[in-house]
Amino acid sequence: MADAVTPGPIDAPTDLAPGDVLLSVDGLTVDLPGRTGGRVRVLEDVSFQVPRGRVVGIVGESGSGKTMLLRSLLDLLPEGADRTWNRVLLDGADITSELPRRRLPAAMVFQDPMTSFNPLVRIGAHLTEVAQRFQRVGRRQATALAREALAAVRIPDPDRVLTRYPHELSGGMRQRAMIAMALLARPELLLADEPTTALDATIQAQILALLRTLQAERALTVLIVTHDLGVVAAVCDDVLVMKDGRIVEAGSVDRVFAEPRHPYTRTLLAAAPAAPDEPEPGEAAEGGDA
Amino acid sequence: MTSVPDVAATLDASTLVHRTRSFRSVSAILAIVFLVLVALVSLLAPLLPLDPSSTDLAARWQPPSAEHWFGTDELGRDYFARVVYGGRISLTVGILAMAAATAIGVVVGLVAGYAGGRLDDLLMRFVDFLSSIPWMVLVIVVSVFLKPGLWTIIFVIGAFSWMSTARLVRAETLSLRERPYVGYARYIGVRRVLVVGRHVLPDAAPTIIVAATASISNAILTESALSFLGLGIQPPMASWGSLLETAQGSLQAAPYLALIPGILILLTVLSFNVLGDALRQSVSEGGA
Amino acid sequence: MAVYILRRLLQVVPMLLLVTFVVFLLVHAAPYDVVDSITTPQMSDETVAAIRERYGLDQPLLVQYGLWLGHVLQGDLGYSLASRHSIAEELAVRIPNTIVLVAPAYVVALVLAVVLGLLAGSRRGKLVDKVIDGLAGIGIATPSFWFALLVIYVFGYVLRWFPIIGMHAVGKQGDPLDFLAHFVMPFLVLVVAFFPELARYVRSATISQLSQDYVLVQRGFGASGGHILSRHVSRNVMLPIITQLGLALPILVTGAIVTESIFGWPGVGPYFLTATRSLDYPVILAVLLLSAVLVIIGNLIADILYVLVDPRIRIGAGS
Repeated sequence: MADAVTPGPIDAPTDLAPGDVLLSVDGLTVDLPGRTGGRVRVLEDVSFQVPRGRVVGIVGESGSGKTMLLRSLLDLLPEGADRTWNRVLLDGADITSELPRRRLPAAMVFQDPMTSFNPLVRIGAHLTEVAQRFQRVGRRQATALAREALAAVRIPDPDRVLTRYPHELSGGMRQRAMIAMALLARPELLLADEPTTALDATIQAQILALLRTLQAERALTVLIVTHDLGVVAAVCDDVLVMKDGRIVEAGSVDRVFAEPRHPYTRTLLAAAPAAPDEPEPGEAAEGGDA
Repeated sequence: MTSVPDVAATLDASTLVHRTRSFRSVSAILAIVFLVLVALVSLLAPLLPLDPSSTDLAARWQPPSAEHWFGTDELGRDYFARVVYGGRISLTVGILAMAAATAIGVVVGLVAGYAGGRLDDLLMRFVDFLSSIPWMVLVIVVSVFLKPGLWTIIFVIGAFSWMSTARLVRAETLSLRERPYVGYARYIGVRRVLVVGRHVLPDAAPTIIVAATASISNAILTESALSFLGLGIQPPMASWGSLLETAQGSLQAAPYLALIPGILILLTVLSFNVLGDALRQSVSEGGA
Repeated sequence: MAVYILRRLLQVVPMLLLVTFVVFLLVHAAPYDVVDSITTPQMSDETVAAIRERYGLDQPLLVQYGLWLGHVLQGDLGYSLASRHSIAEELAVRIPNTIVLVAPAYVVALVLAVVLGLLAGSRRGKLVDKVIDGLAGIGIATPSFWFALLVIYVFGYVLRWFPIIGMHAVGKQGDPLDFLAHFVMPFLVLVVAFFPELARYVRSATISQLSQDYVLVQRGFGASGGHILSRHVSRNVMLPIITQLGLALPILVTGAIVTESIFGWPGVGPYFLTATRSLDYPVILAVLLLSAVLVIIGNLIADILYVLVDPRIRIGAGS
């Protein structure tokens, strides 16, 4: 416990005015029921800020609590979970008391696209459902929006994909469809839980590039959870390092990678295998995976 | 119990006992208590002052009272005694039929699961074929060919209800077969029969026990249905099912004659089911 | 797809032959037969031989089987040895009686099971679940004929709401109200008999679906519990049920043997039971044949439905 950096605001190279912070969370603590009775603390007094328009990576080993952090934001914790926080600010406004009744303007992309869709429901139906719910439009308009979303994630022939069942698409296409679905919820904050872990290496690069592109096109703020430092290096502006339910280090990717302050961060960086050359954004193929 | 320590946790007999001790289910405990009670009364029946056969036509159809706990039947016999002795028969049939069905099912399942290949195919086709003949109809027909009675009904139920046990045991064997210690045993040359008997069988035991509880429930229900139809236990022997058949005639006058054996069947079967469920829970909590 | 269906259909034929032959052997292996029960020791050998010949009992086994199979395919199921009536004609009257009792009961039980099973599965561990699951557990352990006796006692004797025996009162054939009055009790007994296992199955399927990833994803996209249940989970739960409806086909004919006999309902049940008691082997054989054929056809329907309805299985079609 010696060298713990006090979790606090991400130290960005420039001073942030409060209006530049989309989401600020202070003192998040989460308990889960343990397997053999008792409680397990998965998040301990976690505080962080997410600057608007940035891509923030949350990195750590399994068990570090990173997935739970994401899930807490969308109230997706397992049955019997106990979540408390001191303060949550959205665009500077204190919304602590309004949660969980009120939903954060966020949408999540999940890890395994194969199991994330209902196998008996077509992609189109999945998408229009979300469009109708979040944008309050009728069926026809929802279909048009779904088509647009599929095009936005660079899926060729969106009309055909709308009629397909999940198992008829490749892994990469499914993940794109999932991202499309997230876009249809008109989020300001895009949460991604290990979005590329279940994909092949070449597809991973494409999906990450896609996320980066979308973020720029739509001024999204993105929170990516990953255990892979390569992903952080490739697409993230800032990073939160987590261990055992706490944030041990926070800062811009450049700073943290160059001058890690916490011993755990140093261990992580040392353990990462030498990264191959990062894919340039321009090199990513346009939705070409079969 | 295993000759080579297994990396993945296996559920052997000692673990099963340990988990049984951590039973938290109230209903399972009640079930066990009830079954023990019924078993004791059935076993000790000859030692108890019960007389199921002496008739007393002056005292027919008496409702339950202090003197006759369950009342008297259409011939004035003490119904409590009748029910207790009926229970002996019902339980005997249930246990023996279950034993037969389980034995056959285990053997078939082990052989099919372990041997694999064509033998497995053949056996499973046979199981499917047998399962495709509608059961009630088959059981009725076969029990008609043999002289109706205790052994006939045990045979019939045992001979036609082993299929689901076989399927369960086969599935379990298929997965146990892949465990490292089984491979090691074969590698060092242990004969297949011994491998199956010493390594596979004990670890399949929990599944077999769970299947056995289902089997005994099924046997009790089937015997009572057949006896109710007059195709099972014959007079002078009585089982709960045949008591119900006789009670049908006096339903309006003496409803308790029908009520009591039926409740006992229900409670007994329910107890076995609850027990089986609880066992299945602890089985699934064990292992890797 | 069509090829698969055709192949399945062809597989059915040898199964049918095998099953019918086994059934034929079974009944033929009876230690004594009806002829013995209508001949007396006083009859001369010639008379006995003549009777045997009339019933075709002196031919070799395979010939008898062949003759019989030929008749069956022409719709002739033989004659009851006891009553001399055409079995096919008798069944033609009795099967509809059974269906009219069993089909509605099964459908109602299924609907109830789906609704209550979904409810129980989605509220696992809560009171609603404990009640529904508990009732299902008790239901599975209840002998249906005993429940029938209870129902008869309460509604027939004590409350006197419904008549106890038969399908209609004498002279009131075709009267719908009278039919309903006779119908209610056996219908109720059958619903209670069918419901518990179906409900248990739906409940466990629901629980298993709710732990799937896509449900979490749905929640992540703001779907309400009710929406998830009705628009997603119910679909996935219903899929195996619908395909298994085919397997319920034989129930339509032989699923209520005991219930029918208790209530004197003129369906297949009592007809079959009487035949078994008097060793009327053509009748026994006919009913056995009918139900075995229905099992095979039911399996076929279930397999085909499965392939048609599950989008994950597209045999032979390109994507």
